[in-house]
Amino acid sequence: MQCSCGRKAVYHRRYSGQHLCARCFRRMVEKKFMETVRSNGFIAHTDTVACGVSGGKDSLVLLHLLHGLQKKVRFSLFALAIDEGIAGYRDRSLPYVTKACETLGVPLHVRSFKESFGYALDEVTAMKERVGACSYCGVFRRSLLNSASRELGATKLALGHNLDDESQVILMNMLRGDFARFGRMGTYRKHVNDQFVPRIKPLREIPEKEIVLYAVLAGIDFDFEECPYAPEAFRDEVRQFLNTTEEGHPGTKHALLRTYDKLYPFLNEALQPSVLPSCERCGEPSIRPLCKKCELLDAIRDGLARDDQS
Amino acid sequence: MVRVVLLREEQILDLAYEGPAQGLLPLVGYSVETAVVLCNGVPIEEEDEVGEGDEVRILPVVSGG
Ligand SMILES: [Zn+2]
Ligand SMILES: [Zn+2]
Repeated sequence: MQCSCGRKAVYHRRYSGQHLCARCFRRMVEKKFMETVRSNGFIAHTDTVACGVSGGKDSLVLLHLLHGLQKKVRFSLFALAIDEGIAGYRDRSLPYVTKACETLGVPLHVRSFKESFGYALDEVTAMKERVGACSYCGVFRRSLLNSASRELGATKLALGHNLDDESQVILMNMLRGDFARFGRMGTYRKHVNDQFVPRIKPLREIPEKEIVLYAVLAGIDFDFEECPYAPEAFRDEVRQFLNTTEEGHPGTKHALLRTYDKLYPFLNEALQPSVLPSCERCGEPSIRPLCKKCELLDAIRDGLARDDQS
Repeated sequence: MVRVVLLREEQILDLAYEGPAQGLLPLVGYSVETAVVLCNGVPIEEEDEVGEGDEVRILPVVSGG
């Protein structure tokens, strides 16, 4: 098929019925990114944006787009990578981050679980009694991204979540009946805690497939490995369901996100605390007196001590 | 024969196939939503024909962020 500009199409955007050539495809993705940033008021020229990067496609495409946006909006930008301590995975993907930052001339900061918390993820998952790797990883990564962004002077933390990530989490929280978490998925609409760096997700309306194709067309080299720790089975099922539905009914993922966005002001009003308290021990924002990170660190210390005794 | 290169699986398969790329995808465990298809190094639409002598590369859509 041909693009409306006359060139050969490389992408059939089923949910809008368009056939796009490489050039028009890239412009469309860039436009979508810009619209999301603008309509949500994500970035002002006074901002310092920390871009969370992993070496995977989403975060490197995000870094690339944010760097491009700097030509129009004069904000400051740096990249922040978290080394969880997953041998054979993160040590493989971090060079992609280094290379991208060097190419774009964006400063890079790396923080590790080991240095920040005392344990690499591989050490934690070697414990006999443990919860899933993703539970530790998710909690520690979120905590470290926030504290490191803040310490480095960021006013916004940009994350590479795409449309597929967002629609999967919306559906998972609904299916689990996790109303509290369901209501906390959007951006905070008001100031709740000085220690909290507001998160922005400028790729939230872009399908994962378009991110991959954009990376290919823009010559962005990324690691397409998946984390060696088995992903949650439930997420896989939800992903498959959404993909099958999207194939039969293009636009489903967008519709789910739009529904959520329309609900969000009401959810936010009902569920968002006016003040988010701080953890009694570490001072990071936390709904409970002891934050999840500190709670898990206690559990790890006890678990490793028991392993030593046996 | 179509040469199919599965990048995630690091596998190369030679398949007797002639037709739209989207017909090839389920044969190698992918679908329109889970693969980006390159034919002879260039991204193509899944409706595009692939066949004799083509090298089709399959990029997984799902991978780390
Ligand atoms: Zn075009
Ligand atoms: Zn704490």
